[in-house]
Amino acid sequence: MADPNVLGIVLAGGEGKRLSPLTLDRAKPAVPFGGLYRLIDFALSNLVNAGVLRIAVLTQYKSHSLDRHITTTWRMSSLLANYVTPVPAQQRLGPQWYTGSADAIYQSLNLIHDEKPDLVIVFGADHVYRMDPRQMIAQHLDSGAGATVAGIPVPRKEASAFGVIKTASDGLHGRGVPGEAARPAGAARSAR
Amino acid sequence: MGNYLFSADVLVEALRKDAADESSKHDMGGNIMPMMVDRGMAQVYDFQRNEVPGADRADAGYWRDVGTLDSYFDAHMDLCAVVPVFNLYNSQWPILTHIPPHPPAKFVHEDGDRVGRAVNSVVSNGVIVSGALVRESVLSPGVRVEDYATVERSVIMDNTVIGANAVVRERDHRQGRGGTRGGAGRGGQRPRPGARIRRLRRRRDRRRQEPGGHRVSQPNQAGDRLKVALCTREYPPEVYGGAGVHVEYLAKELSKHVDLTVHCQGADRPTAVAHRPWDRLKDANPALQTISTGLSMVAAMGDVDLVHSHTWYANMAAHLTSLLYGIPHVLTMHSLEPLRPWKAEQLGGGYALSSWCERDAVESAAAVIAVSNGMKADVLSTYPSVDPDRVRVIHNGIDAQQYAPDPDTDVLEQYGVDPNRPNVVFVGRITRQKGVPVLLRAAAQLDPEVQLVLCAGQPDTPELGTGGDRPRQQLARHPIRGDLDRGHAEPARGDPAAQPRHRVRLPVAVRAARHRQPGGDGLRYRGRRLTCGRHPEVVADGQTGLLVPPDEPEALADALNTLARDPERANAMGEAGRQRAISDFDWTSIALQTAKLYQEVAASTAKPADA
Repeated sequence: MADPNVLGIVLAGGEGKRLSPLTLDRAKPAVPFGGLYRLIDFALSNLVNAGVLRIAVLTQYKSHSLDRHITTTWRMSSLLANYVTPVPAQQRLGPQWYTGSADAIYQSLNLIHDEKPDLVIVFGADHVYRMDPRQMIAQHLDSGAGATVAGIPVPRKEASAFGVIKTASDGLHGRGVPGEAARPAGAARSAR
Repeated sequence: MGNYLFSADVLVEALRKDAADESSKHDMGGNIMPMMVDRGMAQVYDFQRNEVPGADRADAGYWRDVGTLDSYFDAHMDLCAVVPVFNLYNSQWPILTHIPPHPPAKFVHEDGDRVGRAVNSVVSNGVIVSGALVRESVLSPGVRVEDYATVERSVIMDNTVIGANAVVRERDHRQGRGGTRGGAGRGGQRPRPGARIRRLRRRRDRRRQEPGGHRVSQPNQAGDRLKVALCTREYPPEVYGGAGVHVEYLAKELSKHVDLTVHCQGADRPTAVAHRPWDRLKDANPALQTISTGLSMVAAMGDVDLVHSHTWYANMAAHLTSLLYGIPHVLTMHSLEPLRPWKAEQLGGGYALSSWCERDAVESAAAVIAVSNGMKADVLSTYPSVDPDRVRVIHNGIDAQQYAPDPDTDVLEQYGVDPNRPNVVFVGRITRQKGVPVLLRAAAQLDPEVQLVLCAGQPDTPELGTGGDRPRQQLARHPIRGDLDRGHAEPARGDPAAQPRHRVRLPVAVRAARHRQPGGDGLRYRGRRLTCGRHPEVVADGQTGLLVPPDEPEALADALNTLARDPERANAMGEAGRQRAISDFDWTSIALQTAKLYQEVAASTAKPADA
């Protein structure tokens, strides 16, 4: 797959209770950072810099501030059919909000059907970092895996704050993923 | 870290399967990835191996979860470093965003110490720093920092105005030792504060915010009322002693009569302007720390007509304010430093400093409020140069609604106190000043069925707190339950419960009280009990209690036993005591008397208009 068609999905429904009062009026990804930025700018910049130019941002909680930021700032040329679009929770499958991050994507499966991508890259929107996802994509294609999760080694004593990934000795094929069911896997801990 | 990559068909199938599973929490990390792992389809991508174009060694691998205020703040400080751990200047991998259409940042004034400058800081466009200092901070677009203000280690949200002379800075966790509960202040680690939040709230609050701080009373009621600054060490939520309780209730009532601003020590809080000691003094004698905190208060005082201080911790701040701005100083005397020589244990040579602070302040104050007649006598004998006409007795008060009888016994039972036995209850800090040694000696002579219950706050001095053997041995003879939450266990002055007072001039008072009180989940119980009154004025001998001579444990024990054996009399005295507290020691009337004193002082010290 020389040049895969990649759809970006950014999970931006986080309520961010622990950031209150910054999140009293806005979703966590819309929280200002570093003077000029919003938290979501980091995830979106990482995708866009890597050439992922079709991105759906799934929103839910107090989404107006985020919505406005995306629609006024993250505008792509429609000439090439590129877009960054906020997708509100629409209750397409019944009268309930997203019950989890997987449910958010499940309720928005129409996006995948419409786009017909080869790969779907799913990023959170709560973190400050730089990452070139092209290298992750290359590894994914080389290995032939169905799913790839990024991980960071952290000291063992801090690992309880994150989901923990137990890796096989070759460092690639995993067994028995996360610690905390409610949160995305946050840290990889090499077995050896 | 929340970054996943799926082959599209694999993802769609996994999501469908997960959606059908009612036991699933539908979480990517918690459910989808384990499913992939079980099928042998998952792999890990090591973020550390990721090479970002243009990244340097310093910021390679940087990843921060900014999910809490502390981590959010720390990540901002990362931006301010000289070699930033997170480099916003990597043009090969730009962080894109909306740049608001503001003009460039501007820094103005350079005359004397009025210099507009920002160092080790990230400053957005639209910012004006005018004759102020910004250090290690992030300023969002449109922020104004006005003359002589200082912003340190702070994140300022957009369009915030930092008024002239304001000080905005990170709360230093190592500080607050001298200025908070814990007496000697050498206790363990204080919890990491949520105080940074205050800075972030400034944007919302700035309409209420003035350079001098938050006003307690509503601005629209201010009008031409007297502007009063209340200086205190303790203010809720950091209250550990009687003076703090006093100030809390007084301020609440006073704000109905005057335009009140409270300056206190310790952590930031929305209801008062908080001050802390200088960084450089963090290892210095606590008295020096207190003095530095006081100087910060003086500088922040702003436009006030009168300053009112409580305890030596704040006396000097108010005295200097009085000198610097030419306004009258009213001082409430809760205790006298020269009569508390044991404080040398706590402060060392700092005790001489605290005594000096108090003496200078009290001898120069426009008016001194004594909380009892006994205190007035003490003030006059300790400081003979003070004019008796300047000393006014205004009693301590009590909120009789909050401190009301509670018929339940669940809290008593929780602490193992038998409500059916006669109880002798001590409420207060474990300190000599409260007469604890006398009580302990008396305890040995109490009838065997009597329970001695200590509702104890923090000790004043480490020596007493860790206890010599003597108190422990004696206490061990009676069921003791101490260390209840201090906020509930400490009564307002004049409350039925009180202490055998050490100060020699005042006889120790003993009386019975039927009920007591603190609301919420504090101490609540039913049944008779015995208490010792703090001031002789509080106890009407033979009516609301029994007075016994000071420093005579035998007399105290006799009085306690007398009432323990006569529950009917004890109950009657308790009831009478409560009625007396309600009629004579209500905060409403105390605040009114205080406000009236302010008016008198302000009128007599006002300069003639044409003089």
